[in-house]
Amino acid sequence: MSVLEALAGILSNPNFYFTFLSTTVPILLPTLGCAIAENVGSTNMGQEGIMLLAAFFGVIASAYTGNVWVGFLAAVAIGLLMGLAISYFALYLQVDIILVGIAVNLVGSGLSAFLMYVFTGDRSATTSLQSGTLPFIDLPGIKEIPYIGTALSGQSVLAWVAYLLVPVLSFLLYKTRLGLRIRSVGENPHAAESVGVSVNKTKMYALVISSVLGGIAGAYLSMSYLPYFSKGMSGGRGYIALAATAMANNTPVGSLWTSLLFGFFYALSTYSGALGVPAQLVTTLPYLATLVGLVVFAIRVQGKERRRRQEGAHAAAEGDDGAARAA
Amino acid sequence: MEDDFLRLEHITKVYDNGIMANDDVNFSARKGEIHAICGENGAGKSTLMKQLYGVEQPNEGRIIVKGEEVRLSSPLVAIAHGIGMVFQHFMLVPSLTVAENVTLGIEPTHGLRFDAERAVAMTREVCDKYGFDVDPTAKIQDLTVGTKQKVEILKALVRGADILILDEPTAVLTPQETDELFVQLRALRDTGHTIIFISHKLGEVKSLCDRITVIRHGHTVGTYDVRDVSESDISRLMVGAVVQEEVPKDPARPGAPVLEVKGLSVADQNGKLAVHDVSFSVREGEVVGIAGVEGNGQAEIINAITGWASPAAGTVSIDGHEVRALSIRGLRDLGLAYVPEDRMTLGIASNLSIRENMIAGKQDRPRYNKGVLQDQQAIREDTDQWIREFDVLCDGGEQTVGMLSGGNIQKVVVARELTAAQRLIVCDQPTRGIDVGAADSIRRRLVRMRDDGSAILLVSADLGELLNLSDRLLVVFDGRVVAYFPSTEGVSEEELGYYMLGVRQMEGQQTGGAYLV
Repeated sequence: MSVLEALAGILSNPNFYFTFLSTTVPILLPTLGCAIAENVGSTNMGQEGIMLLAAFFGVIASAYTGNVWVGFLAAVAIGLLMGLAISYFALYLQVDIILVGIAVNLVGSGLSAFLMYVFTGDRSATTSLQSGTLPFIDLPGIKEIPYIGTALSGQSVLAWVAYLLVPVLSFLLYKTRLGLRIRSVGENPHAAESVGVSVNKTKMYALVISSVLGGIAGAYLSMSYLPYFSKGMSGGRGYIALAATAMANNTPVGSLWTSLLFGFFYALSTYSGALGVPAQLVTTLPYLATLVGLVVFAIRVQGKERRRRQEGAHAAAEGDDGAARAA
Repeated sequence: MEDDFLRLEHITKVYDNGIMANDDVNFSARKGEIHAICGENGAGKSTLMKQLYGVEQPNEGRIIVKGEEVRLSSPLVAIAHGIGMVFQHFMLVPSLTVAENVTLGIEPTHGLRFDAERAVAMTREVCDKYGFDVDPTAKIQDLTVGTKQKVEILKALVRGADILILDEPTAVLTPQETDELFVQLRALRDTGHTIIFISHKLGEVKSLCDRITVIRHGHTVGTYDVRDVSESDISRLMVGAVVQEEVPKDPARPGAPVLEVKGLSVADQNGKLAVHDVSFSVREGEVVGIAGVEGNGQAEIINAITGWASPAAGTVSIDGHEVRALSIRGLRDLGLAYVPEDRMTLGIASNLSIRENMIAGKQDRPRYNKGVLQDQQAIREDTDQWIREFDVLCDGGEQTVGMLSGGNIQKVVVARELTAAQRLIVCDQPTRGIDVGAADSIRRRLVRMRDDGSAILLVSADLGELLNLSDRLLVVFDGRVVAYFPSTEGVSEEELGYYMLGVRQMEGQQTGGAYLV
C-alpha cells in the first residue's frame, strides 16, 4: 500500500513531469533513428556506440574550443561519420548489418573509455574538463502554469529539437520523394532497383539520418542531461531504442509514444528513493520494460516471418534481403 | 531500316561462375510487332533480356536501339531508351498505391513534397490513353494478380517505353485474364509498340505473336514468321526433338483412400478463414487435381495437409493418422512427399550443393550412414543418378543450387521429393517455369508413380497439365470447393475458368462427391 501511496506522491509532484520529458529525449532520438533505418529495411544496431562516441567527442570539442555549439556540431559530425561507416561496411562490403552494429557498439564503449583516460587521466567521467551545456529554454509566461509550465519550461533546446523531429520525420517519410523511396526500398528492394532507384544510395541516406539522430542523442546526454561525459553513459538506450521502434511499428509518431513509455520508467527510477522500495529494484524498471518490449518485438518478427513464408513465390522471389538474413 | 528498331548483334555473355549463357546470339525486332522468344530453361532467354534491360552487360556484341548503338549500363539507361520490362515476379511495393508504384523513380515533386495528385493524374492519363481499367489510388496489396500485371505494364508506359519485354506474363493468369492481356498487347502493338513476349506456352505464342525467335543452349536457332511454323515445329526447334504435349495414361485403378480431408477450415495468418468446409479424398493409384486462381485457399489446404498449418475445423488424415498430431518427420515417415510452390524459400537451401539438397530428409537412412559419418560414396552414387534421371543441367553434384536457373532448381526439388516417398505426393505447381522437355518427363513420372499405387494431389496453374494428369478434379474459389469433376474427360479450360472466377458454381451435392472412401 505504501508503495502505491509513494507512487501517487511522485505522480502529483510537478517536477516529475519535467524529469519525465527530459528522460524521454535520449530514448526518443535513437528510436526515431532506428525507425528510419527499419523503414529502409536495415536494422541500425549501432545507436549505443554512436551515442557514446558523440557524447564523448562533443564534450572534448566543447572543452577544447570553449564553445558548446562546436561540441554539438562535433557530436553531429560523429553521427554522420558513423552513418557513412555503417553504410560502407554493410552496403558496399556486404557485412551483416547486425554485426556492423555490434562492432560499432564495442568500438563506441571501448574507444570512448580509452580516450577519456588519455585526455583526462580519469577513468569514470570528464568532470575535470570545462565543457559547456547547451542552452535551456525558459518560457516566461508559461512557466507559471502549474504542471505544464514546470514540465515545459527550462528544457534543453535539444529536447525541443527532439520532439519537433517527430512531425518533421513523419513528413520526410510519408510526404517526400526520399520518404517514398525509403519505404519502397524497405518493402521491396527489387521493385525499387528495377525502376532505377539505387537501393544502396537510399539505404545510405536512411542510415546516415538514423546515425545523426544518434549523434544528437549523444550531444544531449553529455551537454544537457548531464554536463559531462561518463563511461557507458548511454546506459543501453540504444538497445531500448530497438525495442521501442519495434513496438512503434517503425512510425515516428508511434516512436514518440513508446519512447514516452520507456522515458516514464526512467523518470520513475530517478525517484526511487521516494518509492520506499530498494533503489536497485526501481532502477531495473526501464530494462524490465525493455525486456517486455523485446518480447513484443520478437512476436512481431515471428508474425512477419510467417507471413513471408505464406506469401509464396511472388514476394519471396530470389532471396530478398530480409529472407536472406533470416535464413 | 525497320530492322534497326531493335537489334542485338553477336551477344556473348559469360557469367562470373564461368557459365556461358549467351554465345553469339542475334536478335532483332521491328517497330509495332509482337515478337516471341522461346527456349528451354537455361537456354539463355532471361540472360538476353536482362542485357536488353541493362541489368547485365554483354561481354561481347552490340545493342542497337532505333538505329543507334547503345551501352545499356543500368535499367535507368534502358528506360531512357524506351525499353521497359515486366518481370515474372512483380516488382511492386504492396503497401503503396498504384500511382506511387507507377511513378516510383520518376516521382513528381512540389517543392519538398511528393506530389501525390500529379502522380495520380499521370497514372490516369496513361490508363486512359491505352484503355487500362486500373484505379490509381488503390493499394497494390488489394489488387488481383491480373491487375498487378497491368500496373507493371503501366510503369513501363508512363516512362515512355515503346519496347516492352514481358517475361512469361500469362503464368499467373486465368484464361479470361490472359485473353484480356492479349487484347491490350495487340492494342499496344497497333499503336506502334514493340512487344517481346517470353513464353513456354506455344499455343499463346501462335495466337498472339507475329514473329518468333528460338534460342537453344545459348545460341539463336532462328527467327520465323509465326504463321509459317506449327507448335510442334517450335518445340522441335527448342529442344531439338518432338515433344508430345499430352502425357498418355491409362484409366486409374484407385484403391483405398490415403488422404482424407473432411470439413476442413483453415485460417490464414491474419486469423481470417481462407478455407471453408472443404472435403475430398485421394486414393491409392489416382491423381486428384485442384484448380483455382492463386490465393483462393489452395495454399492453406496444402499447408494443412503438409503440417504447416493447423485446421481451424475439420480433420486431415493420411492413412487414418491425423496430420495435426504428427510432426513433419512423422508425416514424412508415413510416406508424404511435398513439392512446394515456393521453391526458393521452402524447396531448397540455396547455399548448399545439389547433392546436399537432394539428400536432405533422407540423411538418416542406413544407406547413407557409415557409423557416425555420412557415406559420401553412396550419396554420390545416388545423387549422380538422380541428376541424370531428372536431367538437371549443372556442372556436377557439388555445384551450389542457388547458381542454377529456376527450372533446374525445380528439377532438384522434384528429384528429391519424388525419390523420398511414394505413399502420398503433394505437388504444388510441379512444372512451373520448367521447360517443355523437363515438364513432360516430370508428368510422365507422376503418372508412372500413380500406376504404381501412389496417391497424388496436384495443384497447378497450368490448366492443360491439370486436365491431362488429373483423374478427378476440384475447383476452389474463395476458399470453397465450387466444382467437382469425377472425370476430366471433355472438360475444357474455358469451363474451368468460369468456376475459377466464381461465375458459376455447382450444388453442394455435386461437390460433395469429391470425398470418396
